[in-house]
Amino acid sequence: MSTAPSKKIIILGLPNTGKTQIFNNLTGTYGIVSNYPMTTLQAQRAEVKTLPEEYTLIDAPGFHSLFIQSEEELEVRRLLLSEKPDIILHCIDANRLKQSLFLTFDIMELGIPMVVSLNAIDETDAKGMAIDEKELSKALGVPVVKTAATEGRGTAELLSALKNATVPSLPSKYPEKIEEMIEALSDRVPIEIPYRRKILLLLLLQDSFLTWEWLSGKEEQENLKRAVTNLLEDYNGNIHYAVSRTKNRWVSEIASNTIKKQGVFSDRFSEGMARLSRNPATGFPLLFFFLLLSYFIVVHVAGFLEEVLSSLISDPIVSFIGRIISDGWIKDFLIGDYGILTLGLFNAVFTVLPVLSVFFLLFGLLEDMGYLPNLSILVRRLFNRIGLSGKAIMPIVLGFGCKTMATLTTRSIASKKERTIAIFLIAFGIPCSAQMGLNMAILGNAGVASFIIALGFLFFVELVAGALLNKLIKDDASGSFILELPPFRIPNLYAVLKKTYYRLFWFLRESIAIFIIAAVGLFVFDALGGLDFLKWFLHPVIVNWLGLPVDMVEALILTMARHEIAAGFILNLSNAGRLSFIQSIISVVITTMFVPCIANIVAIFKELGAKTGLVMVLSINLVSFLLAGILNWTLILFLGS
Amino acid sequence: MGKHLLDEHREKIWILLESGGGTVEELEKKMGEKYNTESLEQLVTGGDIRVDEKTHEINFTPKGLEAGRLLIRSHRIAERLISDVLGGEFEIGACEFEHLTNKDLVDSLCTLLGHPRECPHGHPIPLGECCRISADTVKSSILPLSSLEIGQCAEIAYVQCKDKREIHLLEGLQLKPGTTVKLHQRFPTYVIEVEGTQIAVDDEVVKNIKIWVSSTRSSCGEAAGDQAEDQAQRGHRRPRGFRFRGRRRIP
Repeated sequence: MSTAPSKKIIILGLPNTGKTQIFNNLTGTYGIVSNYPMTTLQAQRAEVKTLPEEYTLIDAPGFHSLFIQSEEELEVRRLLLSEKPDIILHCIDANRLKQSLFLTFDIMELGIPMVVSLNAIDETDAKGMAIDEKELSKALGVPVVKTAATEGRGTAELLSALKNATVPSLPSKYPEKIEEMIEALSDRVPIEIPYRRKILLLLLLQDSFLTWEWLSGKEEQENLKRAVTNLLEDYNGNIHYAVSRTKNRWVSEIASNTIKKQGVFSDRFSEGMARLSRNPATGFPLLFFFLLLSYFIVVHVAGFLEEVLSSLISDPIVSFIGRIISDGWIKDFLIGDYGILTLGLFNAVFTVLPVLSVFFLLFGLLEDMGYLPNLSILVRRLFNRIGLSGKAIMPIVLGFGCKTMATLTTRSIASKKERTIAIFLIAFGIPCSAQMGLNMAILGNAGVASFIIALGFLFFVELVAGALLNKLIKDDASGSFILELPPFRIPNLYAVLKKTYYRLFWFLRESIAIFIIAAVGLFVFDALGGLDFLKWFLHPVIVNWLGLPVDMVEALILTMARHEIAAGFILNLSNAGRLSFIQSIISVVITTMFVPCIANIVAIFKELGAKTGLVMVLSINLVSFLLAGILNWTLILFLGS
Repeated sequence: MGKHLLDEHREKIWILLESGGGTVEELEKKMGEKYNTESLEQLVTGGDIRVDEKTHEINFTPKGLEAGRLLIRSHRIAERLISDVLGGEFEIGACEFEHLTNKDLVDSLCTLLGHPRECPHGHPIPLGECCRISADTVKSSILPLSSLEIGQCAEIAYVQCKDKREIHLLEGLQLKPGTTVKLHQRFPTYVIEVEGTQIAVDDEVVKNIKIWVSSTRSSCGEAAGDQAEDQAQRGHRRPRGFRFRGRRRIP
């Protein structure tokens, strides 16, 4: 990065409008793109290389309005204030023009030069919907570029439009009384405050996330607050209604001038999949089908890859080293039970990687199809029973992707109680995509019944834990459940492959070193006799209570470093025929529940604070041992040992 | 004229009490020029209100409460009517309307509008007899969205919010008077479609979105060919959705 101040462009828009895809197209970098909201949680930035001047592009999370009602949308406002962007690249999903325009109104009021990317134009074209972008450009007073970001269409035009970004006209005035109130407040707010009109309006709307500190000194703050209350008291009416009515009147006007032809929504695939996946009669079988299909594909395809790779590469290397190096600590260090090659590098690349590549590919297909949000439709009522209103469901569903990300999305839950429960449930019984893939592989040797039992058990304990927590934690008000559903789309294979490639690349980049360090650590720990002591000490728990081979102590230690290492280790045990049916289930169940990964723990602490976070992590560990043991003895009771 | 002035005072006292109570001085401040000591005295002697001698706090007597309630109810229902039916500036007409406090008339209007709970400003509408028995919905011109049959469309009459701040989100999603909404699924979660986007919502939201019964139609008619069928459907004043009424549990 050079020291010259570069111009900042921020991408703003509703959730799931393709902001990250545009970001990727313009910068040539890669951020995860999916067909559902909340894929981008934290802003990412990169340089736009193709423009002559220096530009930094910031990809912001999606949001609905600058009037904020949950913490998750705070990020965008924080970015606007801290970054003070020079240009806004406003991303509009052409399918949802009216919904987007409602946000456009807000953005235009900021008075920042702007360019509109009218995205997903390929889809509206297919539908037969026609939007007059020239008319739209005229109405907004800014350049409008039609794009189809997934195909890269319109990228060049967008680049040149960015050079001609203009300050939009003020969309519309509010009713006279509100304008008067804005005027009346105006004197009390320092002139240098950015986005003044917007801030004044937010003050009047009594936005609960607005921090007053930076507006004024302590005394002025109190005066300002009092002035707002006085004004509102004299205002006979509901300012929220009045403001959104004004916005929508403007939206309708623009839409009727620019939408030249309405499209007919009749995508067979989309409609059919939507109906199938949302109706419980077909939705649950479909979910089950997807799970079993992935199970068989992971077990067979990944198993095959793993075999081929190890017989071609890792086995020959291990036996070669075995032949040229005589027995001793060096040999053990390289290819022993805790060798940096066997447990470290080869485990990562030849055992874990094949499983992850197959599962990430499958998961990416489901993601880009838009399947995941529909799960919340299926399970909502069940979650209602255990005290979770709708808001908590989407974050929990997202936990199947990445638990850390999912923990961060709980910011969208206004109720503190539900947020705590959701964070607990995400950390507790939900296997993230990596874990799910590896669980499938581990249970591959034990057969499909073991997979069903393990998943069924995890689902059951989640429900019980949710219900118990609901009783334990004090009640507070909960918000309504309103979830926009992305349309089902036929996934683009190239996009899915690219996403899978990046996920695998990031996995290797982040974890190869950890794999090797963990192997070295375990090697040293074993050499010092610590491992034997721990095995002796934990024998009653591991062997007697959980019914697992004593080697599982190593797996549990490795879990703390990274779940994938432990899974690789267990997978090797399983492949060596050292795990029975019940043992396979128990080892999967315990490693799924036991210690969430480090990133997840960090996220928990960040969201709940150190004290609650610590209590949560400790109790999860304790409970996971308890429950896995109970499952063990129940299975023995019914199936015999 | 005298009655109008009294009613004006009744109404403002109600609003004052609604926001947690108040004194004569606060009433005076709220009403400004319209405030009239005589009218207030008339209300006291008429047995409508009590004024605490020390604190000057105003309170309704049971009789005054009933009168105020009817007044406010008709005012706010009138606002609903004018805002939804005529889509206009509701302030202008409603003030005149409130003086027509024929109870039966107000109850019929309330039923017609589907027993609204709040006025367009978001203030609560006092319940009437008709809301308590909550029957007679067949005669309503406005029903909750949940009364639609799956696959049917209707035009939104108005939207009630659990929290007035929610209006920003709902209106942003174009759930607002005048837009057409389609019901896709009822169980286990309501799925509705508005302006090309499908949205999953909980039961309460669906109940709070009110639709015009007469606008209900089975084919959602984006294409011109559906027009004829549209017309035929519109002829039916009673949509088939009523079949579900019997099964609906009343809390």
